[in-house]
Formats: sequence, structure tokens, C-alpha cells
Amino acid sequence: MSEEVDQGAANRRKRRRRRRRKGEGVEGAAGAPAAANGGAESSKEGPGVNALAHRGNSRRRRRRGRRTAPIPGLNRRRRLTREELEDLESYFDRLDDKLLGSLYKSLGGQPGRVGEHGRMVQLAVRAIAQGKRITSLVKSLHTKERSALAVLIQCGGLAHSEELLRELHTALGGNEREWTKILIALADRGLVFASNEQDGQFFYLVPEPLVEFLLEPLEEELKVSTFADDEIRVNNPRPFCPPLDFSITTLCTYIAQRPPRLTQQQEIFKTNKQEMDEFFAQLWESDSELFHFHIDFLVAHGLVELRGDRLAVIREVVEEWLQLDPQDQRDLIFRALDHRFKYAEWLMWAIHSGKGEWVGERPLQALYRRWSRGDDWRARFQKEEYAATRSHERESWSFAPLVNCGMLELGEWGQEKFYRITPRALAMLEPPETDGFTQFYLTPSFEIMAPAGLAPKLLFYIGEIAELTGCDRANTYKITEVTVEQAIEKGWRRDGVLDFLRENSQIGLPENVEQTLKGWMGRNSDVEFHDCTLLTVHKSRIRKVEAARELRPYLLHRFVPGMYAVDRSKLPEIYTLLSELDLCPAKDITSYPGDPQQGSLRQRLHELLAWAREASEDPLARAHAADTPPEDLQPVPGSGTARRKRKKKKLETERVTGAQAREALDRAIATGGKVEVLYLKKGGERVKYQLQPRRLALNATGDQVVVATNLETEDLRTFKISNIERISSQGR
Amino acid sequence: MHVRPDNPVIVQGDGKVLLETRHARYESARDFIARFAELEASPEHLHTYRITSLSLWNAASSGMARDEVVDGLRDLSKFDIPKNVLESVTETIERYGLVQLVPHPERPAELIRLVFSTAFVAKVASNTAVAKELLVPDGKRHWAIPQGHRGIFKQRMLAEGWPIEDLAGFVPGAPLAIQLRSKMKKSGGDFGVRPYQVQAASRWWMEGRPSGGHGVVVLPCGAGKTIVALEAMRLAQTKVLILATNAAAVEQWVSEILDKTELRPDQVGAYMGSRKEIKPVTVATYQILTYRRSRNAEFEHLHVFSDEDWGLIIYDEVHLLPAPVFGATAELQGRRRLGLTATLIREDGRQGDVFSLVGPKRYDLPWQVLERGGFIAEASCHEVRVPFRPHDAVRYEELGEQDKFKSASTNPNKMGAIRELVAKHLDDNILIIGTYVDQLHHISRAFRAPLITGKTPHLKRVELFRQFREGEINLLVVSKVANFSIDLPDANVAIQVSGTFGSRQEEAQRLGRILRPSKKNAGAHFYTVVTRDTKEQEFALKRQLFLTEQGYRYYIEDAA
Repeated sequence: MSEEVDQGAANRRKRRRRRRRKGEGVEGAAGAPAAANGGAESSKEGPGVNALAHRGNSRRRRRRGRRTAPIPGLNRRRRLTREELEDLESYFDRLDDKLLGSLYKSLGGQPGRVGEHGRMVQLAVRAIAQGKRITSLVKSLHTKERSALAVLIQCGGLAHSEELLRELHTALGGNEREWTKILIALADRGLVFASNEQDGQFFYLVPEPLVEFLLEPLEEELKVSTFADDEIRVNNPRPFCPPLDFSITTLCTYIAQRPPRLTQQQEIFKTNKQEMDEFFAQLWESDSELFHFHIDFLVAHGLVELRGDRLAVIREVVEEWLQLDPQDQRDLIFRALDHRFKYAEWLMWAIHSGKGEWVGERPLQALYRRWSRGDDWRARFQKEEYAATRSHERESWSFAPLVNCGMLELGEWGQEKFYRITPRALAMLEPPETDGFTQFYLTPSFEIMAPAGLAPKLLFYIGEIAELTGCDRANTYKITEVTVEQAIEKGWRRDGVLDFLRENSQIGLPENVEQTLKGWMGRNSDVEFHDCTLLTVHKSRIRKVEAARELRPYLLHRFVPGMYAVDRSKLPEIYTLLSELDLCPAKDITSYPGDPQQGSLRQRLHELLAWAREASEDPLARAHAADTPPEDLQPVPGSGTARRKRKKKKLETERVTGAQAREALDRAIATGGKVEVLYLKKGGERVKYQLQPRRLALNATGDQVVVATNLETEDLRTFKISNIERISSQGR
Repeated sequence: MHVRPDNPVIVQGDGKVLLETRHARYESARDFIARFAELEASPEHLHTYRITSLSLWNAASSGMARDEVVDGLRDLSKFDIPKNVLESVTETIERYGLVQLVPHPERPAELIRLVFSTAFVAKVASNTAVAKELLVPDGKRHWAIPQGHRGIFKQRMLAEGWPIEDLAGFVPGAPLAIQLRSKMKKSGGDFGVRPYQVQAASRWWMEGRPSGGHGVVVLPCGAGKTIVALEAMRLAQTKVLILATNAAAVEQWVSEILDKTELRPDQVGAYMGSRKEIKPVTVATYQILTYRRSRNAEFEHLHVFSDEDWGLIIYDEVHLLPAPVFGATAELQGRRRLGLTATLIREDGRQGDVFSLVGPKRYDLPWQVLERGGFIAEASCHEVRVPFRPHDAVRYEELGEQDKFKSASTNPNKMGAIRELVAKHLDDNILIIGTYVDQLHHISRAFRAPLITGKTPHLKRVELFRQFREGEINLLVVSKVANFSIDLPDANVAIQVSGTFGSRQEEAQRLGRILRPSKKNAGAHFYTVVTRDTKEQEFALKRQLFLTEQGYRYYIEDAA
């Protein structure tokens, strides 16, 4: 039977996921089971009854969407989907006739008049799907019956027979015989069933598909009572309770900038610890649980590790942490809290169902006891250990770990203790849409003030550029030459720093800061080389790749959307993952240069292009320009301006074509010789140069040039070959 | 933790208060915070105040209660107020006035009676070391102090965390009729006291009650602190002793008094090195008062304090008050006192002494408000970076650390940049300010402009200042002597060619030279010429930080 229950639950989970993907709105409210009324299931899960009931039942972790205001139950009613109806039918179809008959009867049916099992299943499902029928059934129950059913549901819908009776006796008074009768009455109504019996011991069970429908009618019984009184004294109130991501990121920055030293016992050195305590005095007290929680969290998640004898921040991991979805970040934090206190998240949700009111310690302990016992009973049920134990009889719990971790506030009223969640915990349970702070303040005096509530990513990046000088409601940072140098060492680029400050500063980037930063950073890293394997994605698939969480760990760096650096050694895994994501990676890796021979051929093509361009020029015009330098022009004999005939100076060398010049240069390069050239400059002037050619190349416009040292000025520059009119070798 | 991002203020755990200046509620928030917190930095867009014991006692002395501070802060703050700040505000403010000094009903000439708010306070306060030393029993139920111990008692009790409310009153001083003119004597132009000056004086005077008549008025350079003093003199109608920083300032005071009050020249005297006159209104320098022939000798001129029956003592630039004058002031607690300053920050940290001996802060107004009102000139600061000539750069690298700064400061290449700046401001009145006299001589020769250094005779200085004021010359080269209290009303451009760059005061004072609004209304420009990539540029960063913290726009330019 339990397998069937699990199977049904699994099917429902699948359906929920499917709906989530489709983006169906889901809601829930404190003290109101969502799906009970056929309404949308709760995506916020945590609050009130819903969370409590489901916690022990399947421990399934559903993703919570954005919380909305509770909607009246009637508005949430909807018809069950065909799939859901089929699930219910399938479940009840496998139920014994008598058991089904009792449920059907209590829902207002007349089993005696329905001959067929299948027909009864159909009618029972229809009755449940109506919602109202099951609500009427629960409402018609006696108060004690409702209480017993609520306790059973709080235990996870499964409880050891004898121990449940003791629990009911402890929590609600009465005697065990009375409670036995009540449970029998519930069984007669088809709401409670039993497992096999061993030596007179068995387990009470509430059919899993029914649980969701029972939550709303049992709202009152399941609700944790709240208390309000102005006289409640708050123990050690801390007015500054920033979100955990703020304190975690700030601590990361602190450790990155002032790595604390550890003793051989892996404890922080006393002086370092004192400095840290002083620095974080606004966040936590010296040696507080909250501080240890932060450090443990950082170490456990690899954000910080021991290097040598000091703690060091692992930047890549921190960046990855910052890139995580806020919900995922919170999941990690909740799990870390669970290590300190079991069911921490559920407890916080339960207290939060009081909507900020105080919740008494005793009802909270009773609830917690039922969760714990429910888990224990389930484990024993699965192991088929039916014998009763008394081990948990006097168990009591202290919620001090959560108080010390800054998640709960403890209040006292006379001898009574009460709890309520802190703003820190509230930010985890109901993350606000925005904290109102999206930008920091950058003053012209190089100070940055970053208020708590700013995105952790921004906080961390500020810490990479500037020195953290104070942790408070607004963290203060100071930009100095040293911090800027360190940022550059970490891989920041000049424009990156300036753009970051400009875009995220509420008041822009003050001119004097910009000028000074430019002076400090120089022009380093304007151009960078990367040695990596690139993964590029067709533009139509970028969104899919970016949304794929599974792929994220493999994308080491995102240059732009659609272009990522990946680890070469992880390519097989990436291939598999891409295929799973329905993405088709290319079989081969494109290399640059692909083939060395291709590279030279490409070069050759460009050379040919240069020659072709050269040839496209009018040779006659070129020749004429070369043959008619003004200094060589003479008056026409016989003209009025005729003077004494000047003997034409014989040219030392003949005018050369581009090809001839190239040949001569090639020779000179090969032998390391020098050449003398007559070079036509841009303005038409002709200049003689003594050159030592180094190599032939192409310039930005695709013209062939010779890279040569001008022997007169000793500088290296390029000369267009097409502008060389005469060339003569000068030996070595 | 409730977050109200729309509010303009963040109160930090260390008592810092950050205020957004672009916020719609900025002005009301500023006026409110300035009453109980000291403005620490006022860069554009975000001002920083600090709540200190002194600032809270200043607030308490002006009648501000704990609830007013806390409720106001809660209303303005984005986050909840830190617990320790709340505790500190409560404890500090409530301490003020727990012990009061009141006139002795029977022996007012000899004793001052102490009034404790509760018996518990009486027990605790009278058990302090100071009280044990200075208190004398006054009958069976009361305690008193001798008249002469009034100042020292307040000073030492403050050091122990007991701010004393002084209601013992003042001696009236010898009467002197002082009236302000409606037209200035020299120029014949209209003269009127500005509203904020009237307000500052009346807040100090407090209608002549014993709780008033002592305290400090904080106004930026160029805002007319002298006029506030003249208004205070008019209110007091008594003989006045004014203490100023140097001889030039004394001359300036005398000139202002004669120009703007009905007092005759024979009623106003100067007491300094060159002449020593004691008249109904006497202006003396701190230097002359603290002069002594040797370290162990007595101060020869402290008798000035007792030569006349002064009814009011005015301390100009009170943040510079020398320690011996504090000593004398401690003995003059029976006289009304007015401190004038642009900043309460003292390099020696003796703000507490100013509070207990001169009095609490009575009035403070940020310069931005005055700039907006057109009472001081709108200023912009420019850093002009000049390279070394190649051979100078080589020589610079070879120099020792000590000489590098001087070498960079006196870089001959700066002349080009100075020329350009002077040419750019041909129609303006320009001060070229420097530290190195050789360099200043060179500049003076190059521009054929008069030079004023420490060696320039006093009369010549006065004459040059007059010429500058009256427009006969519009370029003046001055050394450090111009840092304090020289009123050059028409200077609107300052070119700083070299400086010590370490002192916040020096920067503020040099900038203050050009903040007085000019007739041309051309705005004030403060240029600093520095040599690029040298120690001087490193020091210039400190100045940049200071000036930007003060809220001035700062531009960095490269000389062509």
C-alpha cells in the first residue's frame, strides 16, 4: 500500500512540476490548504497549515514562487484536471470495497445502492472533487475527532497506534480508551485507516490523496495559536537584522581583504577574532552563534578555505554563489540551518504563519514533537518495526539555536516564552520584491556607502574595488590606489571598473574620481588574451542555454550571451549535458588557426590581393610622376626662358616596379643587407632613405609594406612598397 | 529591522549620520540634524554628520530634548536607529543640566552655588575628584565654588562627563554705546546686517538671559562673521575685547568697526607688537597675549584681560585659540564670550575646552545655503597637472625623499600653466599663493606683480591690500601670510602654486580668501598647480579628498 501511496504522490509531483513549467499561478495562504479546495496548490508552501501538514508527509521541497495576498477559499475552487481525477480514481480503485464504502457513505453516498465497485469509485471521486462534501464531512465531526485527525495529519498522516494515543492523551487530555474510540469513529467515516497488525500493534494512516482535501476544513485545529501583548519583553533585541546574503557577502569581503589567521586547533587567532568582532559589532556579538553560522556556511560551501594558516576566499566559488538564483541561495542557507536545528525552515514557516505575532513555546514544542515523532513512526513503519517504544515520551526541545542564529526572537511574558521570526528570517521566507536599494553612493571623496539590502553581487564587487572600512546599515568602502591595483590583479579592467562605478552609483561617477582612477590604472588591460575553449551558441538557442541550470557549473565565464569559456577537460560531460537539453553540439572543435597550411595560403591570398591592387594603378601615371620631379624639369630649348643648359644629373638607379622593389627587398631581408630607396611620401615629396628591411607585411588597408629600420633615425617603421620608386642594394 | 528606503537618512552604529542631499526632505533634515550633530564631510550628494557627546550637549544647551532627537531621527531614517546610538543619545542629553551653576543668593561676589537635579546626582557628582578638590560646603545642604574656579570647574567636570549648565550670569561690564551705521563710512554704500547674521547674534544673546551671552557661532569663510560680532556688540552695549589671529586681522577688525559702527577712532584701539592701545573696544592678537620672554617667564600681556571692565570678549577663529588664552579665559567666566569660527574641528582636539570655556555652539549654517542665497561665491576647485621637463624629471628621481616635494612644488614648468590661468582670468582679481618664497619672487618678477611675504612691512601690506581692493592692481602674489583673516573682497581667483597640503585648515583658509562674493559675480576659482607623477600629486590627493568632503566640485586637468 505504501508503494501505491508513494506512486500517487510521485505522479502529483510530476504534474505540479509540469504546471510550474507552464507558469500556472499557484497560491496558498496561512492556515489555508491550497489544493484542498481544488484550488491551485500552494507555491509558497511554507505558511501555516499547508507547510505543517506536508512537511512530515512527503518532505517534498517545492519551489516557491512569489507570495501573494491570501485569496478567499471560495475563489480558489477549481475543477480537478482529468489527470488528477484519474489519479484519484486509480487510488480508490485499488481500495478495498468496504473501506471505500465507508468513505463514500460518509461523503453522503449510499454504498448499498451502488452495485459496482467501479461505479462507487467514480461517485466517491466526484464527491471529493466537489470539495464541499469533504468539508461538510469534517465539519460534521465532533471537536475531539477533528483534533485527533489534525494531530494525525501534523504527524505526517501516519502514526503508531499506541504512541499516537499517548500523544493525544498528553496533548489534549482525556484517556487512551476515549481516543481509541474517537479514532475508530474516524475510521468509520473512512478518513483514517490502519496498516497490518503485528502483535496487536499497527499504524494509523490517513490516505495520502485525502490529506490535501482535509487541510482547509481543519484549518482551525492545525493553526498555531498566536499571542500579542505589549508587556512581552524581548530578550536581547537587535534592531539591525540585515538579510543573510548581506552579512555573508560582507564577511566574504572582509576575509578577502583581511584574511584571519587560524591556530592549530583551527580557531581564529585571538587578535584577529577581536578585530572581526569589533568590525561586525553591529551584526553580531562576540563569539555569537550567528558568527559561527556564517563562518561554517562559508567553509562548508567552499566559499572560504584554509590556505596556509589563513582563511582565504575562493573567488570563483563566491562568484558562482552570487550567480545562483536567490531561491537557490536561500535553499542552501536553509539546509545549513537544518544542520544546526532540524526542521529549521519548517519551524520558521510555522511561526511565520502567525503573521508577525508571538507564538507560544508550548504549542510550538507540541508541533515540533509531532513532526519528530511522525518521522520516527514513518521510519519504523517502513522497516516494519511495529513494537511500541517510550523513548520520546518526555522529549523537549529548545529553539535556542535558531534564536542564537538570529532567526527567531525570544520574548518573555511572565514565565511564558514566545517566539517570532526576525526580519532576517522574514527576508528568507518572503524575500521582498526589492529592498529599495539598487544602487550605492559613491562620493567625490572616494567613499562608497552601500546600504544593507543592496544586491549581494554588487556588494562583493564593490569589495573587490574598494577597501571595506565599516559594516553597518550602510557598509562603507574606500577606494585607494592599492585597492584599485588589487582589483586589476583580480582581472578587473580599467573600463570595467569605471563602468561598474558609473552604472551602479546613485550619483554617477564624480569627475575627479574618474580622472584619478584613470591615472591610477593607466591603460593596462585594454586588450586581453584568453587561453580557453570557447562555447558559442546560435542566437536562437541562447535563452535555452542561459536558462539551463545544469549547464551553469560548466560555463566558467560568460563573455557575452552566447559566448562562454568552458573547461576543455569537461567536454565529454558538456556534450552529454547539451544532448540531454536537446541542444545539438557540433561534432568537431573548430580550431584557430585550423590548419597551418591554410593559414599560409590565406596569407598568400592577401599578398596576391596586394599585388593585384598595385597592378590596378595606372602604370603610366606612376611612371610619369616618377620621371618628372620638379628639380629635373628644364626650360624648353628655344623658349624665352632658356638659360644655360644644365647637365641632367644621371640617376644612380633605375626606376623600379613594385615587383622589382619586392624582389630587391626580399634579397636584402634574406641576406640581412641594407638598401637605399627613393620613397614617394604622402604629400608627393620624394625622400631618400637608407633602410635595413626586416620583413614584408600587409598594412591595415591591405597594401604591401616593408617593415624596415630607418638607419638615419634608428626607428622602425613601414614603407609602402608601391611608393618605392628606386632601390639599390647597399651591402651588409 | 524595518527598511524605509524612501527616507533620506542612514544612522550608523558608530554615531555617523548619512544624509542624501538630493532628497526632497533634505533641507528640513539638514536643519534638524545640524542641531545635534557635527557636519563631518559634505561631499556632493551625501553629507556625513557625527553625533558626539559635545554635539548633543550643544543641542541640549539650546533646549533640545532627547525625544525630539530620537523621534526626529526615527522619522527620517531608512533603517531602525542603532540601539547603542539611542542609548548614547539618551544618556548624554540627560546629563546636561544635571548640575547647574547659579548665582549665590548671599555672597554673589565670592561664590557660585551648585544646583543638582536630584540627591543622587548630588551624591555622585560631588564625589568626583574635581568636585572634591574645588567644591566648598555652602551651609548644610548646598555646595558652592569660588568665583575664580568657575571656568576650571566647568572644564574639568566636562572632562569627567559632567557638562555644567552655567546660569551664574555675567558681570555687565562698563557700558559703551554701540550703534551700527546704515551707510558704510568709507564707501558710503548701504549697510545692513543679513538675516542669518541677526539670527546668529540673537541666538547667542538669548535676550540677555544668563543661559545666553556665551557660545560659538560657526559660519563659513566669507559669510561675514565680523558682522555677527558687530551685531553682538550692539546687543551687549559694553566695552569689548576682541582677540584675532595676527596683526593684519587686527587692522581689518579696526577698519571694519570704524566703517560699520558709530564708534569713533579714539574709542577703538589695537593691541599688538607695533602699538599697544587699550580703548573701550580693543582688538589684540593671540600672539601678543601669549608672548613671553622665555619658556619659564610669565606672559607679559595677559593683563589686557583685566585692564578694563570688559563686558564682552570676542574670540576670532576660536579653533585656533592658544592654550594660554584658554587659561586666561577660564578666569574670565564672568564676562560674556563670543567665539567665531568656520569649523569647530581643532587640530589639537580641544573642542571640549571651547565648549566649557567659551560656550556651546549657538549657530551653524552650511556654506551651501549661503552659496544658494548668494552670500558667498560659488566656488570650483581645479587641479592642474604639469609635467616636469625631461632633465628636471631625471634630477627629481635622483633626489632624496625629503627634497622631492620641494623640487616638485617649485617645478619651473609650472610657469606656463600659471601664465595660461592668468591669461584666462584677465578680468578677474587673482591671488597667486605659494609657500616657497624664491618661487614667489620668480612669479612676481615674471608677472610684474607685487609680492607679499612675511618680510613685507605691515604698512606696505596694508597699502597693497588697499590697492587690490580698490582695483588698482588685480594680481597679487602672496605667501603663507595670506592664509588668515585678510579680507580681499574682490579676489575671486586663487592659484596655489605650492603648499604644505597637510593641513585642513590651510586649505580651508586659502579657499576662504576667494569665497567672499565679488562685485563682478564671476564665481570663485581655486586652482592648484601640481607636478604630475610626483610626491606633490600624492599630497594633492589629500587636498582633493578634503575639498570634496567639504562639498566643492573638483576638476582635474592636464596642462597643455
